[in-house]
Amino acid sequence: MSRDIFPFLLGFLSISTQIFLLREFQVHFYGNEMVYGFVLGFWLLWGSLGSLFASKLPFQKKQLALLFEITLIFIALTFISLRLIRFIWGKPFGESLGLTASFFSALICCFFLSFPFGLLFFLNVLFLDGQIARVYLLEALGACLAGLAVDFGLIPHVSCWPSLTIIGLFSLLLILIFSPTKKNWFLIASTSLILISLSIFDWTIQKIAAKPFPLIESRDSRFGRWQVIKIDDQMTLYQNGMVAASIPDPAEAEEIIHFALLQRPEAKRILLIGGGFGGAIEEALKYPLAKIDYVEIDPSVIYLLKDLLSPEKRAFFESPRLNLHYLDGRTFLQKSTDLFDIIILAGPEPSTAQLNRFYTREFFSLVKQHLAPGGVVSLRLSSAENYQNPSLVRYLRSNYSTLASVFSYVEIIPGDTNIFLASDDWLSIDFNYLVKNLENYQIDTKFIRPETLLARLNPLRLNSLKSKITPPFLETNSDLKPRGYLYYLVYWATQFGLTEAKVMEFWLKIPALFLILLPLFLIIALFCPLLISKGKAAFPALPLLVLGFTSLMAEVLILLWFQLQFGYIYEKIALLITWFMLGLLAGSFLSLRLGSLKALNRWLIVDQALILLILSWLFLLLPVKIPNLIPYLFLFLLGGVGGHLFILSNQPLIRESQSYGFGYSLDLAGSFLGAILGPPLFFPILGLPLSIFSLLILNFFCLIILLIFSYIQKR
Amino acid sequence: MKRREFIKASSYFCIYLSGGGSISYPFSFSPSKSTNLSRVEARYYEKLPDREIRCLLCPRYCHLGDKERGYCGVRENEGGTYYTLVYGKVCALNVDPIEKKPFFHFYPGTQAFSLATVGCNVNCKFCQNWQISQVRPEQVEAFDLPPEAVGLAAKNNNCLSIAYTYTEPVVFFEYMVDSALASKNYGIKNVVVTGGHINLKPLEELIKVVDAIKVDLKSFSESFYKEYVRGELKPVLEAIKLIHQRKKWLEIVYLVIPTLNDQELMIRQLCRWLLKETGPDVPLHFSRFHPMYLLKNLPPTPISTLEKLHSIAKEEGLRYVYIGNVPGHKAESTYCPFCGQMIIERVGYQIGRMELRQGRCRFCHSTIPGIWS
Repeated sequence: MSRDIFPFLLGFLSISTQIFLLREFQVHFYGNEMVYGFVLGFWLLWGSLGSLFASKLPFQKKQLALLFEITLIFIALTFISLRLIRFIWGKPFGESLGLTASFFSALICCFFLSFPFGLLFFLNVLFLDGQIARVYLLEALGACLAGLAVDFGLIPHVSCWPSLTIIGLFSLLLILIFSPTKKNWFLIASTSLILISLSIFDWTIQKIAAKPFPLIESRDSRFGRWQVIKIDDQMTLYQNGMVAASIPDPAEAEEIIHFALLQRPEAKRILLIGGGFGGAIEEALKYPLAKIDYVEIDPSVIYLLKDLLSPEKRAFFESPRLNLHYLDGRTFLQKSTDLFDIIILAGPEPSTAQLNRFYTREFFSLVKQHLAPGGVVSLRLSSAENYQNPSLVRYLRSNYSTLASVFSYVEIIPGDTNIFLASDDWLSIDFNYLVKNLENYQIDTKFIRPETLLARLNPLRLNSLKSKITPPFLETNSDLKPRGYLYYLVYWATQFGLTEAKVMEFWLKIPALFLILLPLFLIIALFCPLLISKGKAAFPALPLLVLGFTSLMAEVLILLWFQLQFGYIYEKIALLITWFMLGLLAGSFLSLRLGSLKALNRWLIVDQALILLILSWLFLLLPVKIPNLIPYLFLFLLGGVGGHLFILSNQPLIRESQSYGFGYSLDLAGSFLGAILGPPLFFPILGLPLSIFSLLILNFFCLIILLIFSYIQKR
Repeated sequence: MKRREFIKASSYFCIYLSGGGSISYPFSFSPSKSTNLSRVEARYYEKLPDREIRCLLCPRYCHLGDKERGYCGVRENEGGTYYTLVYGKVCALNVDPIEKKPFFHFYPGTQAFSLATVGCNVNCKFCQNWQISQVRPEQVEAFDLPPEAVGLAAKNNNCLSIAYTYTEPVVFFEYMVDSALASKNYGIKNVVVTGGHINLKPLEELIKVVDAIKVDLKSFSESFYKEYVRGELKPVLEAIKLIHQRKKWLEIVYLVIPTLNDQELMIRQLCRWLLKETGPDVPLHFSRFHPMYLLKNLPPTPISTLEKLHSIAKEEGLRYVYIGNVPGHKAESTYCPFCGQMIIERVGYQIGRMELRQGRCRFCHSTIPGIWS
């Protein structure tokens, strides 16, 4: 029993570290699919290499505790370095670090974290006398509990570094209690000290990282980190390292509100989704008839502002004409039956797959259902006032096309940020109409004024933008083919230079058929050298590679699907991953009862067929409205078959290669490919159904190979 | 890979990127979409042995081999002859209020026909127009708009002036000079919005053909110029001095970026230098920074910082100091330095009251420097 605690600890520690690493990365770099792809990809790659190379190193069982302690020190030091990363790259606070910096930072950070975890996997199997199935099962249990503990126990209550202190000390305690080897008290004391100092210096290091700006507040919530910088009478609110709002910043607030409301100045019901914390509510309340419903997913930002704002500004959040809803915007619309005269979408742009949900045809249709007759929806997208480069034009055209596929009228107001207005009734961006409304309703504005409007709505500027963006339409951005965020990523990459843009453009030019078959080509490319060097003995390696790729892609895809269907992933993500892990546990447990090698081959084929069946059902159910239990079930089944197949495939590999880490590294190598290809490229370019189709082809190929292998063995 | 090969490869890639799309301006004479790069010989360079050249237009003095391009990316040496690739290749064209440039003492309340070609000879991390300033001509869709057509276009769009702006006009020097000369036939004025990174000889030529120059002074520190602009301060100061000596109307804009160039001591030194070299009458605009391009995560400039700097400049004796990008702020308006009365009221780009009579304050009759209608 006491020996079992170590694989459990490995799973617990690695998953909780990974969760916090992703959150910290989100703060210091852009938290989009590209950056997540780097982190997850390198995490898996280094883990894979760690477990593979461990067998080449002269490890002994008694070194297990020592390696755990060293890993804990690495965790602490990596997180400290990450927080001070801009100094390492020599960048001032506020300057984007760029894709190259994200890539190399992920590469290095993941090496110091995941490589030791890979070594630990091997050492744990050694420690448990080669019982790889037991290690895998216990590791899965640890990972499963880590997800729950971090998501429910730590994140809502404690910020990142104190959480790491708690996890680190808890791990150290377990090592102390259960390690049978002689304790190195100096190392234990040093590790404890470093871990405790994380908590003690959390705030200080945050302040140093923000220098020369004075950081006055920092709060972690389920949705990320909120930080506030105050210079004189101006506060700037950062969400995950990005400027969310400056207070006061009337220009921004006026932009959000007035272009929409000047269309219908007598609007009575206004729905504002996101972006209300920088003064937009104050602007909306300038319309005397307006009653405002404000939907904000993260209540902590409102609590934070209520603590920091002057009583005068705070009063706007307590206005009787304002209803606050702490909810996901899409979920709110799905649940609500109310109609609104104006709906303003003021959340972040579609920079990630999650945010893309607010810019799809399906979402705009939902918005349309909640618009009163003559109602108007407004949203804002990045632009450039004087010239829009081709990547930007494509991004804007995609959004325009999507809006135009739902609404009869769409208008654009050009600027550094473009305002898109859409309605099924008339719209007017005529200068005289807007100015007349400003004057007639005596709306007191500083930025949206006749002279600014005149320059902004100048026919040269207006028609130049229109001619670039309007028909021929691009393919619309939809839930199941979320192209919007890819276009945004390509545009975003152009500001960092040619190479980044070139890489992104390259992917866009690849024919869909090639992309569908790409996983197959890549897996074959990885498998062939194994086949050449190991002959028949390499066959079980194939399902492991395929499994790694398939399970990661399918898992992320199911999470995205859940979010599209129900919209409350943040509340349920731990539970969803737990179901996957439970499946993994159940599958691993069942595989322990395996009989002969003959049975093994049969089971491999059965498992592979089951994966095909699960993927086929997923493919069929994607566009259908489903009960919320279904994604849990899919994750459980996927985990179950994956766990079962992992143990089965590993046994002949261990017999053959005498390396405990070999199979594990194959699984992670497959996952690495899944992480770098799936969310950033396959989902937006191919769409979700074709991504599953690609997985079906890959798994079908694997099944055929297994059948051939079985046939050869029989003969 | 050699520099030359790299540039060649980059150019091919640029050509590859620039494919597709079409745009059209509602122009009275419908300019055609540009399909190729221009090949007009540059005016400021010297020929060197082995078909090499040295560019003499800006303080970078790019020394280029055959087929190489300058730092600006829009001038190329071909067989020992140096060409501008963007002559008449306009990529951005708008009608803006003159206050947007900003010029506050130059025909207030009028419209400026604003144009740009691709390219820049510096690399500001806070560039508002990075999509056209930090790229190659092949990456951008442009129009053919010959110099002879610019003046007519401005006139047809009811503009009093042509503004060479958005990117760095120095990089399209030949086109700017020729357009300015040609537009005189239509009675159109010409203004330049520049970073001032230009050599004195070409600047002399430019001064002769334009009516006003606004210099974006990015900082008063060489290290800032080196790190955030990738340029030099000294030549900019030399350019400012020359523009003033030649009595060309000059305004200075200083974009205040929090913590990077807002040190009070530095601003004081800047004001003293301006006072000494250009006198008290050159308008100085402290402009509010909004997060942009690679500095997107900096906070905007607090109004209080701008006000502090405004007070310093006034204390040092500058007479016309403005706060920009803060519509509604009282320091947007012009006050008579002698009687203290507001003589031009501004809210954003909007002109309110004008209390000027033939360039004199209506209240105390003092002369207010500028070019007034």
